[in-house]
Amino acid sequence: MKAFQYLRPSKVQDAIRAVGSDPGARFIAGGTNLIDLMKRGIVSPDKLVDINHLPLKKISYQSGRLKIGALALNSEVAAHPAVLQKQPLLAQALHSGASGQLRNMATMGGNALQRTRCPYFYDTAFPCNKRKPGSGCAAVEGINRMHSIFGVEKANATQSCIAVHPSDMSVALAALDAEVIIQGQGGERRIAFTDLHRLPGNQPELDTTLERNELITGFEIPDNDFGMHAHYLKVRDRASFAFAIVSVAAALDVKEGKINAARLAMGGVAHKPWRLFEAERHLLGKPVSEALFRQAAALGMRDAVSFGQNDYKLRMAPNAVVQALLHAAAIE
Amino acid sequence: MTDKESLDRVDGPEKVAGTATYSAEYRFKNLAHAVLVTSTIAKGEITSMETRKAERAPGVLTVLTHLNAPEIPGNPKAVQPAGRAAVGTAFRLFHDRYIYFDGQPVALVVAETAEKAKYAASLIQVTYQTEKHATDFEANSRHAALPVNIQRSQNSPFKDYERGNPGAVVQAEVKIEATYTIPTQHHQPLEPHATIAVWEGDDKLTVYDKNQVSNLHRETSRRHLN
Repeated sequence: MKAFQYLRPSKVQDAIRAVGSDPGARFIAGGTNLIDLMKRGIVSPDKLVDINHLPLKKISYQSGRLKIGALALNSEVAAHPAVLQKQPLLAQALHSGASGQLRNMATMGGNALQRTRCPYFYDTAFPCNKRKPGSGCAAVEGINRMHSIFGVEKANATQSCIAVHPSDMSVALAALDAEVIIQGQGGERRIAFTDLHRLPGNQPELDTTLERNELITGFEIPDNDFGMHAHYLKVRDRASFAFAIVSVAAALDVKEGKINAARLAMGGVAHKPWRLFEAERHLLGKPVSEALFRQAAALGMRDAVSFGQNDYKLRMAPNAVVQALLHAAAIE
Repeated sequence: MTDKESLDRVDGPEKVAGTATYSAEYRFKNLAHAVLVTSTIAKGEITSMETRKAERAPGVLTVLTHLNAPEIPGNPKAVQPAGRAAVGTAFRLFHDRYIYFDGQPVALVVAETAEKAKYAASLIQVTYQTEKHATDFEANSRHAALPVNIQRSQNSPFKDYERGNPGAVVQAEVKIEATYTIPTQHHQPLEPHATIAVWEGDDKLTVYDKNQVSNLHRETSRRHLN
């Protein structure tokens, strides 16, 4: 690990200024991903700006919105009464992620901003457009059973990136129409959570739409009528402490036997949490049935591609969508 | 396993409680730290090694490679044949330019702290002439052969096992044919691979090591160091 300077500012603006003014500076919160990346030589910051002491840990519910500070710990959020009552889907997703020890360290902002676990991103002996722009993508012809099926053009894949975003929490936040509150040097802005992460395109080195001098300060989730009709299904190699092969966040609002609102997002399938907007629209106004769920899942798969070892995801993904919807609808 | 067969491990409670002292956790004054640089190819030859930056990095005491490694008394270079070692030959560390496996140690950086050694190790640049490796068991199964030493041995556990009437399957009325594969198994020790060696006099070396057979390890070390 390269020697680095360590700062611990007490004000949000001081932290933002410290990172904004130095291209070699990085924020550090729980450090559960950044420290690994530093040890492996993937990133080598000159300066770490520790934000753990900033007052951004609060979890509250006010006027129809659940507000969660960016530094609230994953474990605190997953166990918080307001989260369990208002947005149980988020609690489920958080619980399925990482391990108890990691959830006690990892923050909400850090979870959203964690990097992909693609083995070629981590192994500096291989080309990787995300780590070293323009070097190529070893995963396209390599070990890619964990990789993307959405959001990447097959013909352009070696110039782009087929890695997936590893966060479970982010899949739930994408499904729940969460907003991200971002503080910059000029002030605050808000974006939809679905606009936080990018598709790889020709700049796979950029995971998000954040600017260098911006800091996520919190997330807000508006009320919904999904109640307990929400389910996070995670398919993985081990029952615990494993990243999703495919995951689905499903939420349904059923009134008088018909679907009034639906949300579907997937993890482990794209460079960002993947919302299935077309599948959601297909469900609207129709009575709940497994056949309907199968139609919606098939619609959601229309643009899917695969790269050999992850061909199985083309079947697993729609099956997982159906399974998650059945759970959400309490049919199964 | 019955109660009768069950034995308590002497180190069980300490390991479970996290209080066991791992090899790397013993503390000594003036302890130097070493970090390995490992090959990024599976087969080929080292064509060049750039170690100057690492040698000049803060806190670095030495950088060892096959180009400057001192002779191992019990394993002198002079008696070893030149060229790529034959299949079945014991692996010799920092011996020559040949790469036999992915992750093969190619350099060792010794520094005042582990962090300084690790940083210096990241500055070493190795270039290789890559040869085609064959590591896919399935694709290479038709080349499979029983090694000569197993064929020679009367009691090798790796020999084909036969009893009863092995030809019976040919006449059998009902046959079930299937391919059985074994998933990847990872050997995962509780503690990281780390060794501390302390000279306690000209003829006494104490080694704190993570291993499974300590007396065998002691004999190997003694033989290498004469």
